[in-house]
Amino acid sequence: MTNSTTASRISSASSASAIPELAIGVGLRSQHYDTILGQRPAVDWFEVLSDNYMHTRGRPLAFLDRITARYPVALHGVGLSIGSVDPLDTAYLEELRALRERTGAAWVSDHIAWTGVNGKYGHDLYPVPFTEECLRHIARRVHQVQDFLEAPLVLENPSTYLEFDGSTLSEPEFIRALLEETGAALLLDVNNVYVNSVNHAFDARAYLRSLPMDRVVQLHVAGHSVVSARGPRGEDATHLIDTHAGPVASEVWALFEQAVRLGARAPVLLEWDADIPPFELVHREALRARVHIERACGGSERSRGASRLQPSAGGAP
Amino acid sequence: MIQLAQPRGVGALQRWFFERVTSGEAAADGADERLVLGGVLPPRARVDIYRNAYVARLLECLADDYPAVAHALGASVFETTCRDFVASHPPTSASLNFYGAPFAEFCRTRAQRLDAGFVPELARLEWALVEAIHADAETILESSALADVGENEWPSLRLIVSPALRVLRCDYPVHRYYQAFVEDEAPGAPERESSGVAVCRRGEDVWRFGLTPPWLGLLESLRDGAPLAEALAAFEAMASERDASLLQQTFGEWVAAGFFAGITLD
Repeated sequence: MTNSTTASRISSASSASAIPELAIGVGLRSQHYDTILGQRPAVDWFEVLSDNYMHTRGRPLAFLDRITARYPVALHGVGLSIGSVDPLDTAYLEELRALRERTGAAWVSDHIAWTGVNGKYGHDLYPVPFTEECLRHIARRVHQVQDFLEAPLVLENPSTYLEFDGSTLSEPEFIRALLEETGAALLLDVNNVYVNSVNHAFDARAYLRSLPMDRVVQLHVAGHSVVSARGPRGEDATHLIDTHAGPVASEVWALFEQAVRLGARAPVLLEWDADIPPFELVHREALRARVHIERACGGSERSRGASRLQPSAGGAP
Repeated sequence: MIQLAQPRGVGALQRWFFERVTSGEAAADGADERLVLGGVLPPRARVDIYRNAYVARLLECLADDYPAVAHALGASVFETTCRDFVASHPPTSASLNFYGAPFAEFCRTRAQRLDAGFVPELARLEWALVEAIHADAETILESSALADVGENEWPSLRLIVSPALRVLRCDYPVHRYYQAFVEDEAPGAPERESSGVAVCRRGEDVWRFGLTPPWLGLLESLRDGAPLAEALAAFEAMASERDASLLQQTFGEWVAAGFFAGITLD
């Protein structure tokens, strides 16, 4: 496999981004439109769920236009289905490109996953097998998307509840190879790493150490749900569901600190999608990231005698 | 569409998995052979997480679009109806914005079983609200544009309705029912009664107007392209004195709510 010109485009796109490293953002949700537009809270940036503003020519875009006039945004999608064997949907890509131009989004991200097959959609993020065949398949499609968007794609490590047999690579090996092959960047979802580490019984810290942190352009944190269950022989089968509900777990903040220590100096975003509380509470939870950033940087940066940390300040104009 | 050669192993795996996730039965055959065993959960339970999420997401989508129908049917019947809808309507779009479009017709085919004849019409109204939200309503007729029309041009003047306008003719008073629902009045099933309702969006505001027969007739005529003068003459022939006295005010409200996108002059 050969690397493409997209690798060089990544650095130029990142430097042109309107979102500074370690800026703390919040996922934009319609429940918060009135607060955001009425009170103009000092939020560094918003992540926009691109699929919510596609396939519409109406009110969602009217709200979005007012918000993007005041805040920097990045686009985050769930419908690209980069891992599917169905043909890439060019109509979807055209809408995505138009939305990026409309919003001036700093980048476009989606998941290393697939959402449907044979023209049917499950509207969920399904796991991919970590095989060479699948790696080549997804890499080809990432190249096509990047050529279409004329910008690097940002790919997120997804949460999963099963692993397909026959994988010849580990998940971080697969991700690293995909990024190297395509020049794409990484949206590191720390909560997903933790959820998967419990569900698939692996060492989350070793997972983080295996990732190319210099390719991380965005970090996600979120809450998850703990499901207590018993297996068929009465054994403990407690597992985690990536619900984006509630505050971020302490274990996830600890992994977040490790990711920052390992060099992931990217904008941070809190996702909260279920039982959504008032905006002030969501924003306050997101701002907890500052404490963990300072703690992480304090250790690693002091040892080098200098601080790279630029605490997010100012917020919206 | 951008077509690539399908990777055979990945394709077979995706088709197998998707069938397991979206099938109505608790089918996880082949899971032991295709999934990594071990860890906290057995393979079938892992597939079930995705199966349950698939149904839950689509039920949530229908519940968002049809809250008044859910009230009318009650939680249990609404969920059963939605589950049947989901089983027969796998999503065929990357967007869920219009997933619920066929639900009103689905309710109509089951109206007898639901014992609630007004529910399909209520569903039509709720879907009209969804359509108004997503329709392009950028172009709006301003009342000043009408002031510029010369007296000799009035007979040929026609109004272009907004893409966000929906006009419904109903056999039940669904507008009144819906209004009571949004005001938390817990309305009961209404008796048959001819009625009309118009839904439109202007900017971020969605408007809903109940229409008695003369107003419904007027708006339908305008929507269908009748010249304004002709539609008004028909309205005045059947309107009460009171309705006739409200014509200018009501028409102004329709314009302000964004019912019209422009005018044409033959």
